[in-house]
Amino acid sequence: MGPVDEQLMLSYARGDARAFEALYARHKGALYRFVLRSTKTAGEAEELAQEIWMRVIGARGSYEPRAKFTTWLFSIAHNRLVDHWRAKGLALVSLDDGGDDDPPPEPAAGPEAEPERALEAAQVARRLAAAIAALPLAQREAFLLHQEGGLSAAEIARATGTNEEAAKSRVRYAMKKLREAIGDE
Amino acid sequence: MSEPNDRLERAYRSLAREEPPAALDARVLAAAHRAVARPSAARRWGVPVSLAALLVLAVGVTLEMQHEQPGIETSAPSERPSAPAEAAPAPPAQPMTQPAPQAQSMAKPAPQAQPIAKPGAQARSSPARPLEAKRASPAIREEALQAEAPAANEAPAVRELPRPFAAETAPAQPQENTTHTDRLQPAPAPAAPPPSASASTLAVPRAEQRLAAPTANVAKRSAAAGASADSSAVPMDPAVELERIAKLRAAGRDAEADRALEEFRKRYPGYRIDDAMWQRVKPR
Repeated sequence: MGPVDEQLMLSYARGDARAFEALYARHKGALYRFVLRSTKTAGEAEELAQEIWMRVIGARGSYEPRAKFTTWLFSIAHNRLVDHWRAKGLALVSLDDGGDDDPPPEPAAGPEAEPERALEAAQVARRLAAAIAALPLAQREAFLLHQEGGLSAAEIARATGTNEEAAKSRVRYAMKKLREAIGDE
Repeated sequence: MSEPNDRLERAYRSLAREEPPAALDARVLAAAHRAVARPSAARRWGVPVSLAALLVLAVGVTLEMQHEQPGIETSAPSERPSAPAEAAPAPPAQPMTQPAPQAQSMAKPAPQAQPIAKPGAQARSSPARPLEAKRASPAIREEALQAEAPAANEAPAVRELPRPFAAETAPAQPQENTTHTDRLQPAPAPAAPPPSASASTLAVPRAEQRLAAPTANVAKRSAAAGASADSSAVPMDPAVELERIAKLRAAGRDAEADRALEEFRKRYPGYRIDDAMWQRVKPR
């Protein structure tokens, strides 16, 4: 295991471009998927991912390892996504307990409809993707931060500027809906 | 978040693991390299550029100094031949106070290049010589009185020296305002001509070095600018003036010639009188 993320970022801030290469290789996929599943289109995701990484590069001089690098990275991503949603007239208004009013995810098909396991797995994946896309923004973001960024509830709260309980609640609601979508209840 | 979500997590992991396109990777990494390459380039060129700027500044200042005071660097060798001419007023007094070899060594050009302290030391070490002069015969005293005239004539050149150096040679100045009898009194130590002569002969070239350039520059500037006030103050041709003094000498009008020579020294403190002309105009 190489240097931790925070050391790599500090090395990059001192001018070591190779440190950034290592850092980028570690987190580029997670960040890209986080953005892709938040925006739904590859074009937007690519543009936003690039802007987020540019912000990371630009902020290297002021970087201080007061938190995990991934928390810092995904907080930048969160802020950029908020701007993106605002530009689209959307707002991060998903309430922690607002799941009941959200449109239900695509209903899961009965397991008996697809006899083959591979086909069933593919269907589950499709349903899950659709359910993720249907999640309220805040819940989806919290879920993706948990899954892609590996952030805890406290780290999600820090990255998204909310409190830990709210972050925990968002993740809980998101998982409940997704489980329902894939028939795992 | 601690609830068991095995099936959900397996399902999520089964989703496509999208990766950013290679073009995005290239853009981001290029930007990352550029961001840290700029400061390093600045550091790499910072020192050479600073040194070059310093060099240019130093050369510029040196050239400016040469322009303002060309005598410092260029006049020293050319001033050496003038030493005999400048030291020439001393010989009438030297037989009284100094042996001939010492006088010759005084007249050599080399001592002019010696440090400033040396003339000062000579001036300070000379107080014993006036006493010698007073012990000498009346005839010699008379010669000494005559010899003081050139020494006094050269005093103005010394007076124009910069203050620290003029202070060392200052004892020569009171001679102008004292009578002959006063000069023969024991108290004013620098009354003897040789010390003042040696001090002035050694001092004048340095005064020339410092004063020649500004004088020349002023003349150039005034000529260029057409400043009538300065140009009108410029005296007649030195050669013509010397010729006039030589004629006075030839006519036996030594007093007038002495005054004219004194005036000439004041006007042209840095002017070199060639040996042939000096033989014709020197005080007798």
